[in-house]
Amino acid sequence: MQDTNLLLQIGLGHYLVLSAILFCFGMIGLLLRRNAIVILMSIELMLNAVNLSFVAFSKYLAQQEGQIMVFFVMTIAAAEAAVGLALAVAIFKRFQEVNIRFFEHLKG
Amino acid sequence: MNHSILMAILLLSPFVGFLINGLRYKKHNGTAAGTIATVAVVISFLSAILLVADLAQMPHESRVITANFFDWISVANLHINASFMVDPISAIMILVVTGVGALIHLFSIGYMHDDPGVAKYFAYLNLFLFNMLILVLGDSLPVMFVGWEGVGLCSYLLIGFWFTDEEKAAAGMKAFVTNRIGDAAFIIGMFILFLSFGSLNFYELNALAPAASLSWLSPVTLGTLFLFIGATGKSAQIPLYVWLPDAMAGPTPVSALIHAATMVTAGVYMIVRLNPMFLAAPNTLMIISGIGAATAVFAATIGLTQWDIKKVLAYSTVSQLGYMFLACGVGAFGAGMFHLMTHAFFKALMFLGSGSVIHAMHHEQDIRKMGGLRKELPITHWTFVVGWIAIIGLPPFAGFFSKDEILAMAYHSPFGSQLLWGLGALGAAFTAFYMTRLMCLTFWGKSRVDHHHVHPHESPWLMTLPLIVLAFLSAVGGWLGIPKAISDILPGNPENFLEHWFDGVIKPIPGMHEADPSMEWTLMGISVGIALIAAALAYHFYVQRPEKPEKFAKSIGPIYKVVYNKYFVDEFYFGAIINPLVRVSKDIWYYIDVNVIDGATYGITNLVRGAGQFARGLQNGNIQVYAMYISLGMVATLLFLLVR
Repeated sequence: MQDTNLLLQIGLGHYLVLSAILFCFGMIGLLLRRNAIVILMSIELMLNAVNLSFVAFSKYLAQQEGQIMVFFVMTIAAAEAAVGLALAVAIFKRFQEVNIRFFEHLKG
Repeated sequence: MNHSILMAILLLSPFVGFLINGLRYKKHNGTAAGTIATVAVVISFLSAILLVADLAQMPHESRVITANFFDWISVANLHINASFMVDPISAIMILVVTGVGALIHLFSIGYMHDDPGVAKYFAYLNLFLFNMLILVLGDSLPVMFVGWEGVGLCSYLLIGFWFTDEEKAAAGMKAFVTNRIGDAAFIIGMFILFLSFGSLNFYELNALAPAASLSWLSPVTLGTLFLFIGATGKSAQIPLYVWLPDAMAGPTPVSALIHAATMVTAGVYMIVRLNPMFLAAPNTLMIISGIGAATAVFAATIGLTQWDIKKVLAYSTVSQLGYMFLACGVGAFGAGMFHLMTHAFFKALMFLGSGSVIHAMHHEQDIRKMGGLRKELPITHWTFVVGWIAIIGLPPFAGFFSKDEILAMAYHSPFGSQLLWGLGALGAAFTAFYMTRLMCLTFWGKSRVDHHHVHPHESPWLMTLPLIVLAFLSAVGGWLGIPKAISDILPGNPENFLEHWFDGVIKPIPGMHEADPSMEWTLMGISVGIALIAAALAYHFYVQRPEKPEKFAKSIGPIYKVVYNKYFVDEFYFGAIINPLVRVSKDIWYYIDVNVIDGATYGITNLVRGAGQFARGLQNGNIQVYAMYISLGMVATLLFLLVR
């Protein structure tokens, strides 16, 4: 009983706080890390933090649109990860490292 | 014919001449250019005659022909029409301007025929006449001012006509700058009159002014005073006369037309035009008569010492203009106009005569190197003699009547005084002396011509014909204004034509008493007597005892030196005004312009450049920095939403 009570006590607020914490982790990673793969992972983390709040709102407002939006976000995240990882591979082959400062060599 | 059309022909004919000659200014055919220009002026002269003939037939009290061409300026309660009028005053002027102008154009064909810039010269000359006609015919101060500025421009262009000579170019600039000072005062005068009367039309001003108050600070007094300062610039009076002697750098026919017969009389004309208003400002009249008399004597004394034939005539012009202002200052505006007209005849004659001499002497202007030219240049000599008699004022030549009327008025008028008369008579004595001196040194006595290099010869008929016509006018021109005392003893008692002609447009002097005939005879006798004595003295000095003048000059040493150097007025102006002005301007340039003005502009450019540099730093190409901006923006938005 105790367990169910505890589960029932989790509300929208908790989900949103978790979402915000995940988003901030992602953002800090994005701003501070130099490794392109880690940056991509951080972006992934931010996107999924947003997805979490979408789903939470969808559940608590009893509306389906939020969940639909999550599918879009996941699709775009997958596409973005594919392109990003392809670039990362290209950079790694050239420099044996995927520091983002090497990305400026892509131009021209 | 329709008056507006006649007026348009009168005005535009010289302008068309200017356009034709101006567009073919590279042509060197002097005869063609001169013919075009002269024909343009003759057409003007004929339409002027037709207009004046019509004017003379109108009833006496409504003698005015106006032609309104278009609205020129219309702002709030300021309405100025491009409107022109012929009345008895401007009638005299248009006849003199176009008539004497046509003769001088004719003379110029001979004088300038081998000059490379001859088409340009005639274009300027026609443009000058166009502007002079606007000045004379304009029926309001602003329209007159258009012509006033236009003649100033043409004067500048023609004085500096041979601009490759730096001295001549500088003389043109001096004339232009000195005139600007007067013109600024003219504009201020217009502002004052418009502020207090709300109109700049001559008729309205003349009708409104006599009701105004008479104190020193009344708008009429101030306005007329500023207009008079404008006149001192254009008409070469103390203190702005310095440009006229230097203006002799221009071609001699230009000196005859612009700097003797027409443009320099514009100031006198303007005052006569506004005579009811000037009569309402006795304080201004007092200053005008004082300056006029002072200039008449002052310039004449300088004329006594000059060696350049044209400089002598230039100072003579300044002095004669002084007489005209003296006449206006004592309220005898008719006498001023009369002298303006006769002076235009005899001074144009003498300038053209000097042009003929200079032409014969291969551009030698120093009278010390002339002498005895009467044999080589008989026509020039005899016409010059007529001009000489006219200017020193012997009856029955023109100058006698006009100068005598001025002196008589200076004596009798309630605005005049015995002092003014005395100054006028003294000036007349000096005039007789320096003109006789000029005659002696140029035409009489022993020849000092360097016959190895110069072979004087009489000028062609194109140049002598205008001389003869002008000599005729100088001889008989004075008969238009015969004074009452003389007319009483003449058979048929001829009336004073000019006085009658001006009746209604020139106000009589208030409080003028009928002069005693015996007094008039006495004054006449005195002025003729001193002229004869001075002339005889000059003849004795320069023909009979040519060594005397030098001795005399040595005996009064320092005085002679001061007069010979034109009282050091130019030096004084340079020392007291021009050089300090230049110094202050340089200081302003070095300190204010460089530091403040340039500093401000550089400051603004530096600010913009700094802002750009800062913005460039933001966009450094580092993707993570961009991400940080986005994050910061997001945080700021959230904070804003929270705090709100």
